[in-house]
Amino acid sequence: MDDFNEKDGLGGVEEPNVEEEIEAVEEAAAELDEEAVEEVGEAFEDGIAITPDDGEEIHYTEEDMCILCGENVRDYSVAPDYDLCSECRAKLARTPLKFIGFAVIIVLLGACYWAGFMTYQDLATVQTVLSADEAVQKNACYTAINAYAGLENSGDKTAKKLVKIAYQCGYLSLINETVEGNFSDYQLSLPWNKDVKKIYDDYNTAMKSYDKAYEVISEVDEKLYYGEIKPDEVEYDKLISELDALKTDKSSKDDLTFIAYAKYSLTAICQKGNETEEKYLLEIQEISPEYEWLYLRALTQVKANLGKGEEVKAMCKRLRELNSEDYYADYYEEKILRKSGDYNGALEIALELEKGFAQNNFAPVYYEITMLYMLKGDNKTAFEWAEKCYANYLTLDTCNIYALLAKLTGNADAYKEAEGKLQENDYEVSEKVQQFLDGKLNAVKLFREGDGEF
Amino acid sequence: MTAIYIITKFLTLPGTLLKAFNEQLMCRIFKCPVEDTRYLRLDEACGHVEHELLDSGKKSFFYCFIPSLISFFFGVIFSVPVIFEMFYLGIYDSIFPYAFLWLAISMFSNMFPLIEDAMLMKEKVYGKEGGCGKAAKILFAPGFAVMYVGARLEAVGATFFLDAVLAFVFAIL
Repeated sequence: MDDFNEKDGLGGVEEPNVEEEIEAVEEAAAELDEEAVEEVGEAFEDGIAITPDDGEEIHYTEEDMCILCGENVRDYSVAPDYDLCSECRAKLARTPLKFIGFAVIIVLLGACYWAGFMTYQDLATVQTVLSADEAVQKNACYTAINAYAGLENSGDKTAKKLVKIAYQCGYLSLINETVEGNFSDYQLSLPWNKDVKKIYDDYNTAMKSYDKAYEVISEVDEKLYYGEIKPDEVEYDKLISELDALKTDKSSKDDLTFIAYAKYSLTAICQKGNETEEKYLLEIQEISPEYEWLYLRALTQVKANLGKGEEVKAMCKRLRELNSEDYYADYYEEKILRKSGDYNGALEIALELEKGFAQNNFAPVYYEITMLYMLKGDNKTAFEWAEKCYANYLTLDTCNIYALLAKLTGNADAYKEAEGKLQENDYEVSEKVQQFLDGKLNAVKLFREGDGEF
Repeated sequence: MTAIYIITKFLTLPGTLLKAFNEQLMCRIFKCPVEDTRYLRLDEACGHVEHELLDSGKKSFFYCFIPSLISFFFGVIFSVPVIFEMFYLGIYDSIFPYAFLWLAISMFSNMFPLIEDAMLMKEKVYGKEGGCGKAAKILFAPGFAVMYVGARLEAVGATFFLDAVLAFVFAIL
């Protein structure tokens, strides 16, 4: 049998040459019973290993026995070199599955449950961030910022997105807050956070420059804010000179930018006129054209006040490119239309803007609508809007227009209420109200040629 | 290469055990004798069971395909919280996303059949002698292609490294 195996190289997958094998078997089994040899030969011819059932014992060598049980003849029907009997083969096909396998499955199913639970918990956050990402794609900055900023523990990547959109929109305080709340110094030093680090560093550099320039005007600013002094009491020229004195050869671009910005702020609080404000804002634009968040909106407003319609339209377009939700762009366009006499066009924009009040809380729109209805001669509707204005946006101007319309529509109680409110704050009803009632002033002079200031 | 392969198998133990268990299960379903049921061993068959050759193309295909599919599904389930927390939101301060990342890599790294099984599947499904019918050949083609390439990669431990690199890239992007 050994010769038989070696000669034919059984053990590979090739089909054996049956005749040669029979010869080899016959030679190798010379000592065996002749009948047994015949049986084996026949078995190979048929391709099936058969143990004869005629009762006579066949003498196999040890190599023909199953290597597992050693009792049965190998099942040569599987392969000529197969070394197991059919019983052992059947047993192996029924080998029990291992306990460790079941244990692994149970542990993994438990982990699946936990994964599902975590996924469920994260769903709301992910949905919010997805909607915010979509808003970013559409340049809807307010929606995006509100969504990102409204989340807690929403991860570093969300924080990164918030920092970027806040930078784009000029929400500087949000940059500081977000970076310091989410990133350690080590995290900021990592290469994949370099964009956040750059924004943060730029912010800090800009703030240093701003603080230096603002220091000059801070005292005046506070006093004006609290009504301790009046704008015409401010030593405007002296402060402007002090700000100019901050400029040195070593002044950085940020230093120069914020010196110009401080001059603009001082000019605005001292009410030195739109032309002067425009001059300083244009200076900022020239020094740092990329700081649109700093000057663009203010410059648009100044140009709108100056009635530069075409420039305002172009700038509003740019404002919307930066933030498609920038309602100030609508506001300035509406102003331009009001000043040009297109009241219906202006009213259309203003009413559309008012629809978004729930989101933007942009109360000045009520004042605009009130003025527009007065310009159209519809004092009754104007009074309805003045009531909203009075409730949501109480200023000297809105209180006076409310008083004026109360008189015009014969609502004495409303007039008394407005008068009382003004007196509470040490003011009186503006002379312009009486002038209007006396016919010395009209809506066009007050709201088209002027800007609705009482 | 075998050393790297074995190391990756031990690093991804849950996936290794699951894969071997599923292979043994398939052997029982197909009544194929299993010669060596050790799930963990220090040779190139680590994480697989040694079994007799399957006698048909379809059995050979499903023997490779079903355990792969099960590992894949487990991998997907474990990936979801990882995708949400680490890849999308960037939450790195909890241990759970890391644990699920390991489990997911573990599943995906052990998704493919042993190279010998993949070669047998090729022989049985697309071999000149025998093989499957045309419809089966077409139907099995995508699965076969993925599993065959995957088995080649897995044989050198490349699936583990590929998964790990991809996870790192997605985490920092």
